[in-house]
Parts: sequence; structure tokens; C-alpha cells
Amino acid sequence: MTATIKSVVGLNRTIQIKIGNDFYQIPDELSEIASEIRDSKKILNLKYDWDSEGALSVPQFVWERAVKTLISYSKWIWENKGVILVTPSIDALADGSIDIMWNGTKGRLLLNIRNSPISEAHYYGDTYEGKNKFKGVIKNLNEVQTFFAYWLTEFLQ
Amino acid sequence: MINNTTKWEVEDVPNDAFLYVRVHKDKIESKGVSVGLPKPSAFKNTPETGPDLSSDWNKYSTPQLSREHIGKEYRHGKDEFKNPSDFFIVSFKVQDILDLDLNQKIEHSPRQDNFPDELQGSPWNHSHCSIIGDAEERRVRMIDVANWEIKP
Repeated sequence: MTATIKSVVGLNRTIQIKIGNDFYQIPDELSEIASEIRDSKKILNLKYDWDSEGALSVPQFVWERAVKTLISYSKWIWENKGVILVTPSIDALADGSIDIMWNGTKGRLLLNIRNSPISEAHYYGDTYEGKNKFKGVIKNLNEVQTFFAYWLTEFLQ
Repeated sequence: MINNTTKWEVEDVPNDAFLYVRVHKDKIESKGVSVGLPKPSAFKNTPETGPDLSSDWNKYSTPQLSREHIGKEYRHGKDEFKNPSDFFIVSFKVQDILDLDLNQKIEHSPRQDNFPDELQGSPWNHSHCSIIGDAEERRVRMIDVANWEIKP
């Protein structure tokens, strides 16, 4: 992502974000999420051993995969359900993977984007204290999985 | 049981023991409803050492000693000491970890690298324990049972 540019598309204000070679239009209502994505780019500046304990740097493709996934689900839920998800944190891990963590008032969900050529993510969610567990693996991050989007919609407002 | 690489006996860790775990300053939530809590990333181990989380047993350590110990360790692959002020300390009661019912194991694993000659940057640690098990659920649920001992 090199720039965030506000523009007008039809009657709807959007935020344009460049990720890799692609441009994404994000509804203005999701501006906080767009801001978190912008802030998360600093993850790419982390050098080997950034935690003093041998942590790996995060590859560009992992970061791109993570923020594209976040955009896809946030937009789909806004456009199909009219719901704005709580803004998640985007966090680097020592193994070069990325966590997207949503903490809502009704529930929480951790989505880990693996540092792997395979485009998949592991997730765990609950309604706190281990209640109503929701966990598994998303094998295809290129398409919105509706079962996953419905859970986010229900618990992460 | 005697661990052949150490002079310290490997002991059973009782369920009423407490374990101290370091949390790097960048792994603390800075916003939202979980502000001030460790992030799930705090409980992910480095890839070099496998799916276990290092901790210090309160039988042989304190939160202060656990933090001081960090300052005796070299950064990974360097002849340069870690900065203990980059880390904070949480505690876990062993029973609380087991009650999460995540098939986690806790093993006393005293460290005496290069015994009998202690090397600079690789300090011995009688209190060292391993919390074994790694999954997204573990990293989230551990937050529920963590208590700050030395907090930011």
C-alpha cells in the first residue's frame, strides 16, 4: 500500500488503497479498518529478531494476503448485511505469520494468516471464556466464505 | 528423574504452582476493548524452538528474577544482551492452564546449556518450564487466565 486517497464514486465516498499491484475501493464507513490496514504496513519494516528472540520478518505476500482478506470480509459484510465490523488489530508473529484479532462486545475471533505458500488461515473464535467455540481452517482466502462471514457479522460488531 | 544434561533434577510441577511468562512490549494490545492485555501473539513461541512456550516456575523464581534473567541472555544469534525493559511478566496458575482443557502439558525443563561451564549469554535456569501445545485457541484462551506481575 503506497497511498490512501479519498475519492467519490457515484454517491458513495470511498477510500482507495493500493496493495501490491492492486487498487481496492473501501467504503468510507469502513475508514477505521482502512486506517488499521494503513498502520499495519509497518509490519513489513520488522527485521529478523525484531523481538530479540529470533522472530522472523513477515514476507510481503503474507501481509498482502492478510489485508486483502480483511478487506474482502469487511466489505462483503457491509454491503450484504449493513454491518460495520469492530476494527481488528493486525499483528506480526515470531514465525512470520500475521494475526487478525477482532474483539467485539459479544465475541472475539483470531484469524492467523500462515507464513506459507499455501493460501489458508486458521481461526478460533468464541463468545469469551471459551463459550460457543468456533474454530477451523479456511482453505480458500480468495473468496468470501459465507459461513465465516455470518459468524463475524453476528458476533463482531 | 535426572536430566543427563543438567545437575538439576526434573521435577513434577504441581497444579498450584505459578509460571511466569515474558511478554514483549510490542505484544501488548494498545487499543479497543482489550487494551493493556497481552495479544495472542505473546503466547506464540519462536519457530526455532518448537511448539512450546517458555516459563519460569515460582518455586525457583519470582517475576523480578524472571525479568532480570532476560538481561543475561544474548539476542538470538548475536553477542548482544537482550534489554529486560523490553519485556513484561505475566503469571499463570498451572491449574488454570489445565482447566482450559486444551491438552496442554507442563514440563519442568531446567536449562544448563554447556554444563558444567556456564556460557555468557546463555544463563542457566533452574526454574525453566515448558508449556507444550500450540494453536490459535491456546493463544486466545491463555489471555483469559494471565495475570500481570510486572505490567507496562
